[in-house]
Parts: sequence; C-alpha cells; structure tokens
Amino acid sequence: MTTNTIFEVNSQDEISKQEKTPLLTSSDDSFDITETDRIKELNLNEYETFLGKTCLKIPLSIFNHLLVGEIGEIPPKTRYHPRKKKSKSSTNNTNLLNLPDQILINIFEYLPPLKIIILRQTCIKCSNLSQDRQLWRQVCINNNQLFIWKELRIKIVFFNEQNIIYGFQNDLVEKITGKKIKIRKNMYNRTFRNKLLDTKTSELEPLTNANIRISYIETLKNPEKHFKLKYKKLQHAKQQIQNLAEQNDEQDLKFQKQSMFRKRVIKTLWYPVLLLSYSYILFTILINLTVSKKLQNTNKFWSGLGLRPAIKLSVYHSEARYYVNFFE
Amino acid sequence: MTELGKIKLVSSDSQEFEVDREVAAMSQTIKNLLEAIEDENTAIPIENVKGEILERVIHYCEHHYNHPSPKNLTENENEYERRTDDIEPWDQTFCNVEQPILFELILAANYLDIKPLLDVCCKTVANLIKECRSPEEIRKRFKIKNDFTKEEEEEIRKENAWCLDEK
Repeated sequence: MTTNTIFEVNSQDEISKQEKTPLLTSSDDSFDITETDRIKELNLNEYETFLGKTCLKIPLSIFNHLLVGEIGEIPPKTRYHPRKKKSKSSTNNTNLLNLPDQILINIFEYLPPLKIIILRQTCIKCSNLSQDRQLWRQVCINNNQLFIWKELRIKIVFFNEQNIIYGFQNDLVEKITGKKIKIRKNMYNRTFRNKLLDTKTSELEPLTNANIRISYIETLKNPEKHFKLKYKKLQHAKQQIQNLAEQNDEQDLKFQKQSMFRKRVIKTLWYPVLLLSYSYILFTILINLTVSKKLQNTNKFWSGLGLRPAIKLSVYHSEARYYVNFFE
Repeated sequence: MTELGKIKLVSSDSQEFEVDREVAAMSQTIKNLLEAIEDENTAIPIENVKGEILERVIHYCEHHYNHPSPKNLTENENEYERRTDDIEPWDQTFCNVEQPILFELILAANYLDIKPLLDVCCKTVANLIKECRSPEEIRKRFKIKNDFTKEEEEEIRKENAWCLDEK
C-alpha cells in the first residue's frame, strides 16, 4: 500500500492579505528565484526529445480559460467584445463568418493548432471562438499531442490519453530528481483515487482554512528533503506576493472584479502549487480533485477566502470536470 | 402527380425537384418529415434552401446513394479523430465551387441534416484555411474584415507570437 506524506503550507495569513489585493498583474517576474534556487528546467526541445513527442503550444489566454473557465463560457478578461454593426446585410450568407458558430467550430476542429492560432488573429469572432474548450479537446485528440504551456517557466502538461501519464510521470520525475521512483500503475484509476480522497477526509480539514495542503503519495525515496527545498521557494514566492500586496494597497477597490478574481484564484491557489509541482504534475491534479471534492460539500473554503461561494464553486467544478474529461 | 417511390421537393424560390424517396431520406430532416406526412403526393417545401443549392444537394445525395462509400470499416478505428485528407475524389470535385456556394451548401446540409455532406464541406473549408499562412491571407481569402482595434491586434499578436516562432 502507499503511504502518504503530507506537506503543508501555512498560508492562511498571507492569503487573507492577498485576497484584498490585485495580485501580480504584470509581475510574474517577482517569482524569480535566485540563481541557485532556480527550478530545474528543461527547454522545450530537450523536453520534446525526451518525450519523443511534439508539444502543442497554446496562447496564455486560451490556456487560462481551459484551466478555470466554465464550459462554453469565455472569461470576460480574454474575450474581445464585438463592435456594433450598423449596416446589416442579413440576406448575405456568403461570408465564412456568417455561418453559425457551431458550424465554424466544427470547421476549426479540423485544423492543426498552428492554423487556429493564426486564425484567431484575424478577427474578433474567430478570436472568441478559438477559445472554445471543446475545440481544444478535439485538437488534442486529432494531434495525439500534449498541451504544454511554458510562459511562466513552469510547464504544465495535459494529456489526452490516460496511459501516457503513467510512463511520463515516472520518467520525468526520475529525470528531474535523479531518483529512481515507482509509481503505481493505477494511480489514476478511479477507485483508487476515490479511495484516496475518502480516506483523507480528516486531513483535508485545513483546506477550509484556506491552507494549501499537498498530499503526496510517497514515491520518492527521500521526499522530505526534496520538499524542504521546494518549500523555501514557495515561501520566497509568497513573500514576494505579500510585498507586492502591501505596495498596491490603495488600489484595492478597483480590482474587485471577476477577472481579477480569476487571477487571484490562480495565483493564490494554483501558482504556489504549480511552483512546487513542475515535477509533480501529479500533485496539481490531486490538489484539484481534492479541492473540488471538498467544495461540493462546503462553502467554508470560499468564505475563508472572502469570496462568494457560487462563483468559486463553478470554477472548481468545471476544473474538476475538465480533468475528468481528460483523464478518464 | 409524382411517380411511384418519388417525392417532390420545393426550394425557397419555388423550383420543384423530383427525387427518389430513398435518396431524399439521406437527409434526416426530410426523412423525419416523410414519416410525419401521410399523403405521398405532397410537395415538401425546403424553405431555407435555394433551387440552385438544392439541385447540388440532390446531386450529391444521388451520387452517394448509387455509390455508397466502402470505408465504414476503417472509419471506426479512429472514430474521434478529425482528418481532412480523406476526402474522396468525387467529393473533392463536388466541393470545388465558389466560396458563397460552398457556404450555402454547408447551411443547407446543416438544415437538411445530411452529415456526410456537412463533413465534406467543412473539411473543404478547413483545407482552404490550412493553405493560408498568415492572418492577412485568411482575411483576404475569406473577405473577413479586421475588426480589432490596433491595441487589441498588437496584444493578440504578441500573445500568439511565441506559438508560431519555433516552427
């Protein structure tokens, strides 16, 4: 059986400060970690050679949407608002863009990803349509490729095939940590995961206090040591966030908007996790599943963050659904 | 009076077409209608489709009724994968038409619910898009108006640039 090591970040105080503040609008650099502390990173080419596969690169706005958006909904932040047209030529059906959206998406689904990225630069309608979740899912299936996003130096990888992640996870963690590891084949097996979630209910309790708790299925031989290093980086990043938060204190009220909220969720919850989890993609997923499961039952978590539960719930719900879509 | 086993379709501009019942039933919409209508001699109005387009659609249906495609077996292997390089030669010629006609064919296929025709048209459009290498080319080809503001255009260009540079 697997044993579980718990790594906890007591971030309640910091988060309660962050929530009032516009976080990191343009300052992803503040996560810069000193040279010695740098997260080990593979460049894309190495990475592709290593995987023996091409990686699919997608723009940040789409990615964010795929990550936190509702199905079928485009977050206001990344959506371009169409101009109002005065002259309507309603009888003229001969333009590509006059086709119904569903058909257009249907057409786009046949395109290779690069063409979609070109296409989305042509006009507002294409740009908005190109963020369709279903579309990217299909693209993923067509190309049998990985989603990879490398803008924040941390790479997140999505898979469209369940079995890839097993092999990959082993190998990547091995490569990065230099340690031989063993991951259970059925890590993503539904029963196994449910069991995991069920047995840890009591340990999930801190979540309601907006703590970030990372449950780690012991696969590394010396996880504590590894975590200590990561923990430092996390603290460093948190400190940076906090400093920034204090600087921008005055502008608070302007930013109580949904788009900021989305960013906040990513930054407060996702980012630290991501920071830790470059080599532990597994964690990210676990966290999400854990968090979302928790959320189905309680609103405390959200009120702990000072946010309205309804919105948050939908965000995480869809996230969970997203993963389920891809991994099952 | 229509011949036995034939039905009459009427396009939006009142042109009439006589079609084999079974050919017309390739359209799910018409098939459903036929089941609902008892009187065989009723002409079926196809209100959203012009005569010119309807003629082409019927042509397509007749051809495919007489030449059923043999590749159903291979299709099942990759049911979910969308490819554009598997258009049959006859269909390629069929879809090699002016853009406006192609789009109207798509609309007609959508309205009449003829999936193979819709697919083949969508693939053709996708192929047209594939041939373009830049946003400008696409705009030119499909007469799309650039409705971004300058700032937006710059923003979106920047955002997408890194996806394009390495290939």
